[in-house]
Amino acid sequence: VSTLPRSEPFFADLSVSEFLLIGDGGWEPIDLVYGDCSYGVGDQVTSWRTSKALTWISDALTQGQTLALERMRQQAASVGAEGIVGVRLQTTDIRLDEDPENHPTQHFHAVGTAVRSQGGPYEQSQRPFTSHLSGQDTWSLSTAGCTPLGLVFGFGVYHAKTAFKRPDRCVEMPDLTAGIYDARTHAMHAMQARAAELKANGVVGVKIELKMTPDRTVMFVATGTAISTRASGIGGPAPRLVLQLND
Amino acid sequence: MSGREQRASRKVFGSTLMASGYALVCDAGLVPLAPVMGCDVRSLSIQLPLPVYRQRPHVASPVPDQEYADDVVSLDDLDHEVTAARHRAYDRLREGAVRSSADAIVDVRQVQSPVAYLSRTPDPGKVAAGIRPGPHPYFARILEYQVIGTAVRDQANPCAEPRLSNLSAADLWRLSRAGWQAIDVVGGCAHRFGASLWGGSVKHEVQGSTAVWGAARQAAFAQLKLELARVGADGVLGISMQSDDQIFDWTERVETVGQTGKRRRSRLRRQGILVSVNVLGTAVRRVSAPVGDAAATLRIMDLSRS
Repeated sequence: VSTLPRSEPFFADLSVSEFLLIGDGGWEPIDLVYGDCSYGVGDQVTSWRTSKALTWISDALTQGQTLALERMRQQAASVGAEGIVGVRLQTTDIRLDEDPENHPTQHFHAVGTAVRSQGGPYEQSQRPFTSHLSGQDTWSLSTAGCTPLGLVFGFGVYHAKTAFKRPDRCVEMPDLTAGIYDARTHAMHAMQARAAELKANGVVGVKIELKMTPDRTVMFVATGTAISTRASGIGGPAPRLVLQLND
Repeated sequence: MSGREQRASRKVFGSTLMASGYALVCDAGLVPLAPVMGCDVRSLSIQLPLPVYRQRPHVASPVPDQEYADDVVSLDDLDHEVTAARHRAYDRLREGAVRSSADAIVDVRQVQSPVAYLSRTPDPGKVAAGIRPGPHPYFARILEYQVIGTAVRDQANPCAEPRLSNLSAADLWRLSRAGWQAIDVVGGCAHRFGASLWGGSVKHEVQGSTAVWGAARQAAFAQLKLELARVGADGVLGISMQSDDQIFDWTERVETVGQTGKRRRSRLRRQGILVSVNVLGTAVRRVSAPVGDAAATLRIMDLSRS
C-alpha cells in the first residue's frame, strides 16, 4: 500500500481489502493473468459387470488442468511476477449435442492476480508460485511464517457397476459407496503427490468437489495450496479482543 | 419563514446506500445527494458467426491437427454494440449526477434487466453468446444495459465530470483511508468464433477451442487496458469476468483428390464455438498519503470460523 504509483498501471481482480492486505504483506499486484485449455477427454470403456477406476479420464482431466495452469504461470513470468494469488479454476463441459459419437470436451480456465514483492526478489523459487488463497488468507499465512509453494489438485473418476436388480428395501449400495471412497482417495492422493513434488510441508484450504453422472460415474476434484513452514514452527499474531457491535 | 416551512423547503437526499454504508461514505468526506440511473436499450444487429467465418482468409497449417488453432474470427459489430450500450448507460448516469451538482457516483451497480442482459450462464435461447433474451418475443435481439448509483458531493476533491465507482461504501472508505481514489468504471467486451476439431476417443487438446477462448479474453482485456489508459489511472481493482460459449454445428461441401488423382466431393461435418467475454473493473488512482494505518481494521482474524 505504501508503494509509490508505478509507471505501468496494475490489473487485479482483488477486492479492496485484499489489495490493502496484499500490500501490507509486502506484495504489489501487477497484472491479471489467465490460462485456457480445451481438452478432449476421450473415452474409456466401462462395464455394468465390474467397477473400476477410470484412470484414463483422470489423466486427461489432469493434463488439461495442468496445461491451463502452466499457461497462466507463463503469462505471469512474462510480466515479471513472483507469484499468482487468488487463483480461480473453472471447468466447463462443452458438449455439442447428445450424439454419443461426440466425446465430451472440457474447457479448463485458470485466472489469478500476478504479484511481486515490494522489497526485492522473492527468495523461494524462480517460477512464479500459484495460490488459490484470498488476499486475506495470504496475509494470514505470511504473518504465521508460511510460504505458498503452489496450487495442487487431483482428480479421481470411478465407475460403479450396475446391480442386476435394485433392492426394494433400505440397504447400503456397497458398489457406489466403494466408488465414492475410491474416487476421493485417488483425488486426495494425487493432490498430495503433487504437494510432495513441491517439497511442501502441507496443503491448506483444500476444497473437495463431487460430481456424479446418471451412468454411475463418480468424479472427485480436490484443490488446495501447498505451503512450506519455517523451521522454527508456525507463529502468528496474538489474539486480540474485538467486540462486535452486531447483536 | 417558520420552522415548519424551513423543514419543508430543505432538500431531502436520496441514496442506494444502507445505513452503515451511508455512515462510512460520510466519514470519507462525501455527502450523498440523490440516486441516479443510466439506461440504454438497443436493438442488436446480430452478426452471425458463420458468414463472417466463411469470409475469412484461409491459412493452411502445416500440422493437420492444428489447422484451426490460429483461425479465429472476431465479431466486431457485436463487440461494438455491447460496448456502446455500456458507454451510453454510464454517460446517462453521469448526466444525472451533473444535474445534481455531484462530484462522484458511488455504489454503482448493474441492474439485471427484464428485457435482455449479459448472462453468466449459457442458455440455448440467447441471441448471442452471453446475452440472454427476456421472456417476451418482442424483446428478442434487444439488449438493455441499466446501472444505478448514488451521486455524492466530494468537497475535498471537487470534479467537473463526476467520478464513477462500483465499489461498496465500505471498500470506498478503506480505499480513501489508504490514500487512493476510485475514478471510473472501465470494461471490455469481445466475441470470437472459430472452428474446432471436436471429440475423438483419444484424449487430446482441442486447440481450436483453446485458441478461441484465449483470443476472446485477450481482446476483452486489451479493450479494458485501452479504457484505463484513457482515464489515466494507476490501476484497476475488482476485475470481474463473465464468459460464455455457444456451440455451432454445420456441414461443408469439400472436394478431395485421391491417390489416383480422382476428384471426389463429399460433405464434411464441422463444429465451431462462439465465445463471449465481458470484463469490468474499477480504475483507481493514488491521490494522497495514507491516513493512519489503512489496513488496521483488516488485520483482525475471525476466530469463530474454522
